[in-house]
Amino acid sequence: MRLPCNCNNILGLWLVFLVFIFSSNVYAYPKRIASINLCTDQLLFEIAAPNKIISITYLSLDPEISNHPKRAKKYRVNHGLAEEIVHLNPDLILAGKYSSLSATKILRKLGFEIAEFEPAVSIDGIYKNIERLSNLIGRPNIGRKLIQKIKHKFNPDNMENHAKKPTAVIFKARGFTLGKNSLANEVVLHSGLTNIAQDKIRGSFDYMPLEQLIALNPDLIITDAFNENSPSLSQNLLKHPALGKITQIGSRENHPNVAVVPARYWNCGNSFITHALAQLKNWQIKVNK
Amino acid sequence: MIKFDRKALLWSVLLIFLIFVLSLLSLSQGPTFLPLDTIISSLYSQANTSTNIIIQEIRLPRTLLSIMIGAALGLSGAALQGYLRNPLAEPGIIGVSGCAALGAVIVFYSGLTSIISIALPLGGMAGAAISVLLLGLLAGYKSSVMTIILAGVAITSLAGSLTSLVLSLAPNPFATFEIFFWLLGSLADRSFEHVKLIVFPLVIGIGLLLTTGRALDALTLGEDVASSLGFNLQRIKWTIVIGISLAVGVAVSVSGIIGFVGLVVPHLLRPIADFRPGILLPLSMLGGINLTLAADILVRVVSQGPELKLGIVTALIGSPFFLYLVIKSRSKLQ
Repeated sequence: MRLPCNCNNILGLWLVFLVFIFSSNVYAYPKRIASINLCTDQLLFEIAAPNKIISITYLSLDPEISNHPKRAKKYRVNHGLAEEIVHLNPDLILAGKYSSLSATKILRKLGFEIAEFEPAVSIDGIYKNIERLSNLIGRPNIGRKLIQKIKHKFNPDNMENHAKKPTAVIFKARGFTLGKNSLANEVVLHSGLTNIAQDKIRGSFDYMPLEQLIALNPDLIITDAFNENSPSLSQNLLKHPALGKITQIGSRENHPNVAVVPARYWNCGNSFITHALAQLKNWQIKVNK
Repeated sequence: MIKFDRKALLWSVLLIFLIFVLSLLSLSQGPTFLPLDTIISSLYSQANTSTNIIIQEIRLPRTLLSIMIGAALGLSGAALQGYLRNPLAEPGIIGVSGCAALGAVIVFYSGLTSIISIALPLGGMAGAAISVLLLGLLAGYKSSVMTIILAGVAITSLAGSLTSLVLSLAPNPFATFEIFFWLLGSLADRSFEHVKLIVFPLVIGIGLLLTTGRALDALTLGEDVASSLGFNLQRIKWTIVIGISLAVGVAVSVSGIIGFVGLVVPHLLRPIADFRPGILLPLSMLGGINLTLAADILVRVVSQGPELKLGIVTALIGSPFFLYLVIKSRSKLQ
């Protein structure tokens, strides 16, 4: 069939043009990234180029839960509200899968590009999130390096595996404790400790009564550090005299030790998880003596 | 001295006996099961075992606080009802508890308690004192039943919203969760430090309130008669104000607002006291202890996992009672 004009050339040109558009789309990685979730903030700080970030959450300013409070000061902070994000006109918004749901919904309706991230509940989950984000923003190499760094520490060959496994319970403010299918549990197990709370609670996290902790009498109580200047009843539970009494040294045999692991190391899944592991490994060796 | 007749005496003995039974039950209630003989021997043991720590450091202070706070709330209810001659008066309803919680919250979350722990009960006391004085300014102590309740409702809601505001603005991320504790009350995981902190002001407050018995008896005949009988009305007023501020203020500062105890107990015991406020005071104190102990046991029995707040249970018991009183007073007015 002959076309009324010499369209072959034109078609060819169109094809070249389309390929150009398509490829330029693929390689136009986001330049204005906003994050409305603490954990995606933290991943951004580790992977993205600093000048590509335009906003992170106010939580990243808090040195207790954020690993990058100083860097966070350079950016405009948001509180997970759609209105704060819209006028920044980001080309990629990072959100948690289960937080700020209404904001995510509105922003998607308005046509913004949104990537929702599952909270990491395992080391594998961290790898997945790092891989996904680094591909999304065009820095797969950095992602790969980060994953290698974590993999090196969490190598099954490096797992502490002694015949005698000291018992441990994670006990945070309000008695918050973690069990099966949680990131913290995996770290605890990998450090050569057994988390005896995992059989006592339903689900992967729960609030444990102080009494139950004392009755369990673990070798190691793993808890958070906190700021004395802004008190709360929830954190004051960790100062309960009963807790002080069971951890008194020398008063009886096998008193529990207390390991303080800063919340920022393992609240979110990122490369700082290796710091939590290193601390717990040290404690495991100390307790196992 | 107030003379107890046989009926009141018998009931006092019964209530005291019940306090012992409920205290033992309270000591045996918790997430870990412990047999009764272990519990009793644990109370005297010096050894540093898990069981002894659970009994001595967790359950014993909790039981003691139930007793102390129950006594303060029951007695304050009876004293307020007697003094204001108003059946609906109660620390929770007229805003004393709400303001005490506000005072404690301001002191605690500003970090003052971390510097000096005594600031906590002082904050509660100051809040309670301000509310009683405010009530006097707003409604006057001689005004009608409804005016006082209305003023109380206004003070309570103002104090409640200010408490929530302070907790929302507090820098600590856990503070917002703790609105529940302050507005609904709880005795979970309190310690001997709290007992020591409040025991002196609480006992003084209770003592002051108990001394007003004869004056309150005289007041049932009207203020003129009472002053002609030689009672100094100003002195009674200030004894009540200071007593309530001490007792309720420090109680709320460690337990949050536990409502309705002061409303229900005096009403249940009034027939036993033959409607004499002087006898009703000590009886309500014993009754308040029993109700608070029982509610705090119930809280631990019904909840699996995180505990119910104590104020939920007392409100569930108290609010139907409150409705009953409203209906009764309405039919009286008609």
